[in-house]
Amino acid sequence: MGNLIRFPSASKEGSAVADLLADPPRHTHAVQFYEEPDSLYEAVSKFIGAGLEAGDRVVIIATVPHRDAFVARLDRGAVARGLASGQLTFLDARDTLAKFMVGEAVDPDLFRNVLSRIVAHARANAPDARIRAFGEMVDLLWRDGNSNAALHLEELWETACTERAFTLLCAYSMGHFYREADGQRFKAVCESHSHVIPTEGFTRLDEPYARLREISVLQQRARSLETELLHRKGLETALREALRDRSRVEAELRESVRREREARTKAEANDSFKEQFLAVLGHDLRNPLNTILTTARLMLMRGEVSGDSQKRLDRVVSSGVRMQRMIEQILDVTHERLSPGISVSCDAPRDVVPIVTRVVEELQSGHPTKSIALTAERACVAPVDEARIEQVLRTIVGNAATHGDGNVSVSVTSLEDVVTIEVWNAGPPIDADLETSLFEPFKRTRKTNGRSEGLGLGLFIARRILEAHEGKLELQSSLGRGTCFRVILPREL
Amino acid sequence: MSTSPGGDEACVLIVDDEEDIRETLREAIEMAGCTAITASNGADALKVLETRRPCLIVLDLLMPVMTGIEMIEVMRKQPALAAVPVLVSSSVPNRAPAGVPVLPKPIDIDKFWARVKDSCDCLDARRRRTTTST
Repeated sequence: MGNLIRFPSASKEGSAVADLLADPPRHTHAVQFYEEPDSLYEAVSKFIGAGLEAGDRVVIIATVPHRDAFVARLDRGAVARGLASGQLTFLDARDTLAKFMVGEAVDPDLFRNVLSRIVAHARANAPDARIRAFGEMVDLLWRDGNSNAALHLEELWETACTERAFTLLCAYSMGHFYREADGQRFKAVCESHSHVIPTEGFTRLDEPYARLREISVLQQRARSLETELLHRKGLETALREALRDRSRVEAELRESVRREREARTKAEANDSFKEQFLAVLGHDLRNPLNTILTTARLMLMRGEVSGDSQKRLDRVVSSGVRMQRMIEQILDVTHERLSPGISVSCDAPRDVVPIVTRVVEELQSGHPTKSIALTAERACVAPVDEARIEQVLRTIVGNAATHGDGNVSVSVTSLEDVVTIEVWNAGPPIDADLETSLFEPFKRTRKTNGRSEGLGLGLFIARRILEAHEGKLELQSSLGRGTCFRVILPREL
Repeated sequence: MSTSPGGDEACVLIVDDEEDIRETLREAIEMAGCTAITASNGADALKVLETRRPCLIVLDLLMPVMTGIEMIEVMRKQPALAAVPVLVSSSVPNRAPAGVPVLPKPIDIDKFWARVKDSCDCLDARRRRTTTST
C-alpha cells in the first residue's frame, strides 16, 4: 500500500498506469481518482477490455449511466460474447449496495455473503481464472455524504482482495475532497489501496526526473496553498473580529440614539412644563393680584374709607405691590434660566437722567428719614430699555436706602464711551466673601425692620439686565468710603 | 358727552372672561365719568354690538366660546363695526392682530386711563389721576 502509485517497470509502449490497468498483479486493490467522467470511462473501459482479452473474469459494479459509457468505448462483439459466456458480469452499484447496508452502516457479514455470491458466480465455469472487478459503491456512499461507511467498505474490500485473490479497481471523483478538512479522509482512502492512480493530469510520469519535477511543482503548490490558507484564516479571524467590533459599535450607536431620543422627549416635556409654569406665573397669579391692587387703589381714590381702614387698605396695597414685584422677579429669573434670557428692547438712545430722577424721587418719598441726593450732568444719552433700567435703579437705590447707614448719593456721568450711574451709601463694607454671592439668585440679606425685603433676586436680575444692554454692574466696598454700585451702560450698542 | 368716530355712544364695552377684571375695569371707567357695558366673550360682545355702538372696546384675547382675535376678524368684515376702536388688553400681548393698540396685563390702571383717553374722549374732567404709592 502506498500514497502514490507504485510503478512497475514501465513498458516500452505504454505508461505504468496503462500497464497496471492492462495487467494488474494479483491482490491489486487500486484506486483511480478523476476530475472528468470521460477519463474514468477511458480508464475503466481499458481495464475491462484488457481483462476480456486476457481471459479474466470481469465484474463491473457500476451505475447504469457509467456502465453504458464503458460499453460505448468497448468492442461490441467482445462485450456480447463476454456477457453470453459469463466472462463479463454487470451489477447495478445502487442495488448491490442496498444488499449489505443496514441503515447508514455496512454490515460486514452481509457484505461477505454478497461478495461470496458474486465470486462464486464469476468462477462458475472457471474456478482458477483471475477475477478483476471495478466497483463504485464507495463513490456512491461518498456522494451520499456517508464517508465513514465508504472507508469501512474499503477495508472490507482490501481484506477480500487478499483472501479471495482478486483484483479490484475503485474510482473516486476528486470533487469529493475539495475541502481542507478532507485531507485526512483522502489520506485514509489512499492508504486503504495498494495502488493509487492520480487524476488524468498526472498519469504520464514515467521518467523519474519528470516525476521529481512534478512532485516539486506539487510541493510548491501545496505549500503556497497552505500559506494562502493560513493567510485567509488570519483574514477571517480579523474579519470576524471586525464584525464583532462593528456589532459593538452598532449597539453603542443604537444605545446613544436611544439616549438622545429619551433626552429629546424629556426636553420636550420640560419645554411644555416651562410654558405651563410661565403661564401660571405670568397670567394666573399676576392677574388676580392686580385685581386686588386695583380694587384697593380705586377704593382709596374714591375716599370710601377713612382713618384706620385707610391704613389697613394701605397695607393691602403695599404688601400686594411687594408680592407683585416678587412675581415679576421670579418671572424674570425663570425667563433668564429657561428661555432665551431676559429680554430688553432698546429703542433710540435717550437721556437716562429723567429715569434716574424719577426713581430717586419715588424712593425718597418711600424713605422719608433718609436723604437720597442726585447729581447729574445735563444729558447722559444711551440706548436703553427704559422700564428695565428703572427696574435696575429701583433695586440698587432701594437696597442702598434700605441697608445702608445714613444717606445715599446717586450720580450720573457721561464719559466718552459709557454712561455711568453710581449709587453710594455709607456704612460698614460688604464682606469680601459676600461680594460674589450677592449677585447669585435667592441670596437674601438679613431682614430689615422686621420685613423680608424680597427673594434675593434683585441684584441677579439687575446684572442680567445690564448684560443684555452690553453693560456692567460693578460693586466697590471699602471701610472708609462705604459701598458703591456702579451701573455702566455703553453709549452705543 | 360726545361720540367717537367709530361709535355713537359715550360708553366703553369691556370684553373679558374674568368677572373680577370686568368689574374692576367697569369701576375704573365709571370713576372716570363714563358708562361701561360688559361681555364675557367675543360672541356675547358681538350680540351687544347689534344694539349698542360704544366709542371703545377693551378686549381680552384668550376667552372661551369666541376669542378676541376671532372677534376682531368678524368685526373687520362688517363695515358698521370695522371702525369701532379696539384696545386689546391681554397677558399675551404679542398675539394681538397687527395695527391694534395693546395694553399688556396685568393692567396698570393709570396707563389704562391714559389709553382710554387716547382712544375716545368720553372721559371727562372728573377723571382723577392718582400716582400709585408703592
